[in-house]
Amino acid sequence: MGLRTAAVATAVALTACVAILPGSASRAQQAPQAHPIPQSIRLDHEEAIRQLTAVAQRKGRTGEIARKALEVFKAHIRREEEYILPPLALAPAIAEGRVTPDMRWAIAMVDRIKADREVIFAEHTTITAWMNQLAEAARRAHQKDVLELARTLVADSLNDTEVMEPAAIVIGEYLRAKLPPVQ
Amino acid sequence: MSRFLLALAVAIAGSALLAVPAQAQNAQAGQQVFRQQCGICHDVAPGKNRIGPTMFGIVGRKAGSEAGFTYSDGNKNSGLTWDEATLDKYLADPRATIPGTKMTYAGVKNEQQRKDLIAYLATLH
Repeated sequence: MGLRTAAVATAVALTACVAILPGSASRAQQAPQAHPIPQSIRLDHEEAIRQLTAVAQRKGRTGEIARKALEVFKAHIRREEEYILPPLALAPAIAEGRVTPDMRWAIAMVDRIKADREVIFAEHTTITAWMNQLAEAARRAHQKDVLELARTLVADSLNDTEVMEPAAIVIGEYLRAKLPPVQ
Repeated sequence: MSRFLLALAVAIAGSALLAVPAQAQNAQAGQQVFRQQCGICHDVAPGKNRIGPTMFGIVGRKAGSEAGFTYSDGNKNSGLTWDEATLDKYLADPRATIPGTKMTYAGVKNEQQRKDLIAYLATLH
């Protein structure tokens, strides 16, 4: 997650760049993934973790809440990067009309998203609850930056629910319709 | 005489306190609940939609009808109008009351807190 208001468009654009330059430095620095997520989203995740980690290192109530929220947040990001977001990396190719059998892995991921939607929604609910607590503590402590961070992260959580997860499902269903069934 | 008046005043005040039902709504307490549980997503200023729609004028409003907010189909098509009863049900379990709602909130499970919260929302006009 991260600043994702224009994330889908950015994701498509940046993923296209990564696809064209497979040996780019940014990719070389990442741990290898079987099915990578769009680079723009990866950067958003890293930035969100960085900012929340910085708050978690503070003393006081905001730091205490941020430490707990960080665990939930990291677990959710692990789930997203494992099977929710990788199908989005196929969007640039599909948008250009390219659908190939080696994209079939995304169908299995999307089936998993659909099966887990309530669990995923519950995780977003937990994140919202922590961000509520963080925001309230930030208000009391007059930490405007933390309040803004909480608002940003909860907006990103909505972005996942409203855009990212449905978009991934659309990609998977499109592939299912276009690719011949496996015999 | 002054002792009598004092005793009378204390008696009247005590009776008044006893007359208040234990489950009375408390808008001030509801405002606190709002800040702690809703404030990250909802504003109370007219027309100010954030992650969620503004709560200004929520009581009496048709679900999914606040201008300038993009609702889920579930919310838009719920046919609900927000009053004390529908808010109580929704706030107790949003996802069960409106399947498909995008509000990532587990609900206010404490009945008194719900009453207080609704009492606060009713003041937002």
